[in-house]
Amino acid sequence: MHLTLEFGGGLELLCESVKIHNVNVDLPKGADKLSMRDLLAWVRTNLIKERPEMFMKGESVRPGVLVLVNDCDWELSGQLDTTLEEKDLVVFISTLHGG
Amino acid sequence: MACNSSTCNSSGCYKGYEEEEQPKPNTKAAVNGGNSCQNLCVKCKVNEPVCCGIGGENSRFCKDCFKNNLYGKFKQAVTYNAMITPPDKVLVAFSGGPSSRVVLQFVHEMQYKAQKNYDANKDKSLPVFGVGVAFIDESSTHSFTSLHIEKAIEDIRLIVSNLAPPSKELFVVPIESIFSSDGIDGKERLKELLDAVSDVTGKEDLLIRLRILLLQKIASENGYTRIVLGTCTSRIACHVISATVKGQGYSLSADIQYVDSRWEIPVVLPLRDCPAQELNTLCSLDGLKIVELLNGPCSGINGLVSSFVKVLQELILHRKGNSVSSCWTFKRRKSFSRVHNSKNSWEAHSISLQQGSGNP
Repeated sequence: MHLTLEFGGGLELLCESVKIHNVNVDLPKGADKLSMRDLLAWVRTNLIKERPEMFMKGESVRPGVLVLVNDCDWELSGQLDTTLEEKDLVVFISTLHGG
Repeated sequence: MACNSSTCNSSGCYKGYEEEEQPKPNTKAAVNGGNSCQNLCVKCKVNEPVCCGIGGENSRFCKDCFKNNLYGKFKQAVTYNAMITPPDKVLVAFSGGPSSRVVLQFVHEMQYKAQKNYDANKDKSLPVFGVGVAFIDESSTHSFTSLHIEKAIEDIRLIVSNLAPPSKELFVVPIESIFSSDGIDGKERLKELLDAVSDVTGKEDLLIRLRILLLQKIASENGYTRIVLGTCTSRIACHVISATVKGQGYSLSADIQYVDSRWEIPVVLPLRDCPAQELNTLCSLDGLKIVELLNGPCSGINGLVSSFVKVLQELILHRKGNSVSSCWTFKRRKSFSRVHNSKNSWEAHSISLQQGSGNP
């Protein structure tokens, strides 16, 4: 599944300072849908090159990281259970750095 | 220069944050009309929500109501505390981050409206307040490449020039100019000063202090009467805890007021009631460009406290079924003498979260 992932607020430093990633994520075996839970695990394995604890805590994102799926807060679409579709845009923003 | 497009997200667009504007009904919501209130914006009850404020289920807003809600908090803080009055010249401290980007945008919106009213008014009795922007270049204390910092400054110039009319003067000032106008000497002296502090937290706090002193210097030398900071609720929360653990309780009360009049040029915090999460969401939804110069995570007390506050916020937010109102309240102790401009019982309402039936 082709997705666009964006990292902001300092999270890009964990992905070799690349803010926008166009990725192709395989569905997990036996599943017909891709959930945010699956995507996060994929991101940790494939995109996060250092200090994974700054991005994730357990199977979810670290507190202070905002997640927007197609400009919509993931809290509204079920958080980890949000299902993703082809060409979706997922934005991760760390709010730990002030402004 | 007003844009009629409802989807325009350019930072120079003046579609504005109209406080009384009714959002246009979304077709999808209209079709689902009687379906359920749970899937509608809590404010207009017409559009589908796209963002969550920190109040969890009770603060699901559509994009327009979310923007208006934030702008409303800003406007209220400015009005109730007389932060900006017509004869003022305000200097907005712009770091490039999301909070200061939002405060810059909101101050610009306010100035633009005041200018429109002035132009439409025959007697021209109330002048429009002036706005300047200050960016402190701290590259001498970090390891950014010169290309990185030059690009950042270029981006900032573009952001500020797009926020016109009314036009705003931009000051790009290196941090070492706190010492002298001679760049070389200043850099050496700054390095010497920072090297004298051995711990990370101490260095960070010293830099914060130098920043505000430099802002005072810029404001004073250029005739500004107010300094506007983008300090948000979350930052205040962190400051309350970190100041307490550092034994800075005496000054804490005055540190977290809407208006800090201890300085020659008063420092105002119009985003004091806005959480960082909402400001970040606004930047993302509204396409407000931010310029990030980050040096990696903070490893001292300040960074630790920031993480702690986030964890606490998440824990409280996701605790289901409880009516939780979380405010940290510190009662005034007798040993504290009167602090300039402090209230009688000072409270750090760093995070005020509500869940359940939406009681205040």
